[in-house]
Amino acid sequence: MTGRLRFATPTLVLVMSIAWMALCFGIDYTFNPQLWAGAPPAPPTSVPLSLHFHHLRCKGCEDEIRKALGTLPWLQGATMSVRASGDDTAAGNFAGWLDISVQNIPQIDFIALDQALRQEGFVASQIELGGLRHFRLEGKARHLCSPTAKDDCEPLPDVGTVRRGERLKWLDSLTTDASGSTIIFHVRYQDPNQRIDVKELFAAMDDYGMLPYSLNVIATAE
Amino acid sequence: MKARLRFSLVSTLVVLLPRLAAAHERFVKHDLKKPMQDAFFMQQDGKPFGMDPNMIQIGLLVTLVLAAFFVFFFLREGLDEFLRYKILAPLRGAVQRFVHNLACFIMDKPVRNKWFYAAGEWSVIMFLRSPALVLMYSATNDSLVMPSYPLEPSSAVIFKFIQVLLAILILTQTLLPLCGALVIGTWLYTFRWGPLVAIDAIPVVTAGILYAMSPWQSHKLAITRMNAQQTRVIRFVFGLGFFVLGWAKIYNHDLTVGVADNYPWIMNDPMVGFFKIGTDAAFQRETWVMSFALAEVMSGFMMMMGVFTRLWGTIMIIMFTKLTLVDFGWDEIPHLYPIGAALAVVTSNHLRSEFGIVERIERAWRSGSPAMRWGMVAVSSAVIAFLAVMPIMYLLTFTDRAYLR
Repeated sequence: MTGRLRFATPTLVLVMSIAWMALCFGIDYTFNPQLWAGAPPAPPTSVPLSLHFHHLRCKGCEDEIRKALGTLPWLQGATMSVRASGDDTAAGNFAGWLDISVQNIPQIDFIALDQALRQEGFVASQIELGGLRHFRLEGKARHLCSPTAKDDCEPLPDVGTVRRGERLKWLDSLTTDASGSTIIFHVRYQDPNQRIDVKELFAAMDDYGMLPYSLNVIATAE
Repeated sequence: MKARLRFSLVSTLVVLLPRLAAAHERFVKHDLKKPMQDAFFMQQDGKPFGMDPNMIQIGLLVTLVLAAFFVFFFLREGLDEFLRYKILAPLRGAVQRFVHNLACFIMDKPVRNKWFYAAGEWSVIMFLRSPALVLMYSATNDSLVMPSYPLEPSSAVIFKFIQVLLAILILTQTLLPLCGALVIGTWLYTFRWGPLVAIDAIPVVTAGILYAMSPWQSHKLAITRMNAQQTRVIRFVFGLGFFVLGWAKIYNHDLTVGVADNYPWIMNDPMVGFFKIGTDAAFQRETWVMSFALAEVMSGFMMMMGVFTRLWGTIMIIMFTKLTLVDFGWDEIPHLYPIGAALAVVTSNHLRSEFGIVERIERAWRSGSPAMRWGMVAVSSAVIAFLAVMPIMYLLTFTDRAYLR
């Protein structure tokens, strides 16, 4: 039986709506304090960079990798340590993480990092960057479709197209600057211990068929 | 019309500060390919009322068209008599019924047809439940209410589960008044990201209103019709959304034209082109923004006031469907909100205008002088149309858009 129909009064609807709005604000305030802060926090003096190699702990490999990384000015003098976890600790597995503390954040260039390693015959399977909560990656490219181009070149893909499954979940959006030579990857606001895997971006750029000649970390305000 | 989402939900999408606005609109490209002539939209010395003459021309043309629609609407009883006794009288059978139903449809009168009635029932069910699909889709895309509003990762899980719970309540028709409060409350929360975001999301509120006005025992009922009060409130809020969105397009003109820069074919809309007729070609993009926005203001105002509701509702349904299926694609799936609302309103047999007093005077004066009656209708229509368009357009020229940069 349905019985006598009862309706919510406008006052009740209003009260429930405002209560719900207040709860949303409460959730927002609790979990996203950065959005309520007047000024963004200053970027840290150093950030953790972790590279995963399948051959890090083989005899001689670690030294070769350190040597390759030492050619990069922004990694000279950086503290590095080897870490093995999960499947890496299984017998016969020589994979591992090379944890680096990078102090010269504006000089970080992931393209240079990748090329320096390849020069020595190594490729990192993962390149994880953490420590920054609000930042973006800025790539310089030679062959980028200008913002004013219409029919004679292919514009950047939509962010929804670039993401695949779990890949690039950390990417909020991508834009180009007015010069048409810079592509900016805006990273979603990160939790304190969250990291992004830059190799996911490399894979997406491989799919797209273009690679910038530099890919820097920008932690300053736009 | 707002290529809304059009841009609407495009332009949308999505603004606390312009930077956030841009982020929210990232699903529909909106990069400005060349700067606008901002002075066009602002107060200028030495010009009539400080407004660019092209802007005034477009405003007056829209006012004229709007007034013409009002005149036809207020005199529709006379047109109906002409139709009934001059055109339908010699016809017979199915043709007569079809023309009669078509006339009733266009003139916002009850359509007594079983197919129309069935379509109305289906539309209400679609309007009632389809928001759950968009909520589910948004949850799986780390977004709030619609995919163009990304959630912060730190609170995403909470809001995603809440949206799934709300979607389940909607799909099972459980505690619909609570669902309405949750939808309306969430919409109020979007003000946290700025008024432009909240304006963009007004179509969502229409569904919330229907839920809020449903009985608590909704899970035991087959809700297939909207009553007159529900129809009126939903129609008003639905039209208000477009009316305000139209003005927001002028205010945030860079975002509006940015979408057009990326999807240039949307600049070929015939109605927008009509409003631009005779304007200075040196202000091509600026006049397009004005025409486009005021076309949306006009359609939104008529929907809001219940004037040719079905006609404009049908145009909106076609536009939104085209924008989703043809122009912008999957990213515009939130158009299900306005499509559902428009379908429910268009197929309602409880339509009436907000200008009942003009209609009552027109009816009362039918036995008198036609000139008096037509004059009253003409003056009323002109005043309504003028007040709907020109004052706000004038006031917008004084607004500071610096924070949008």
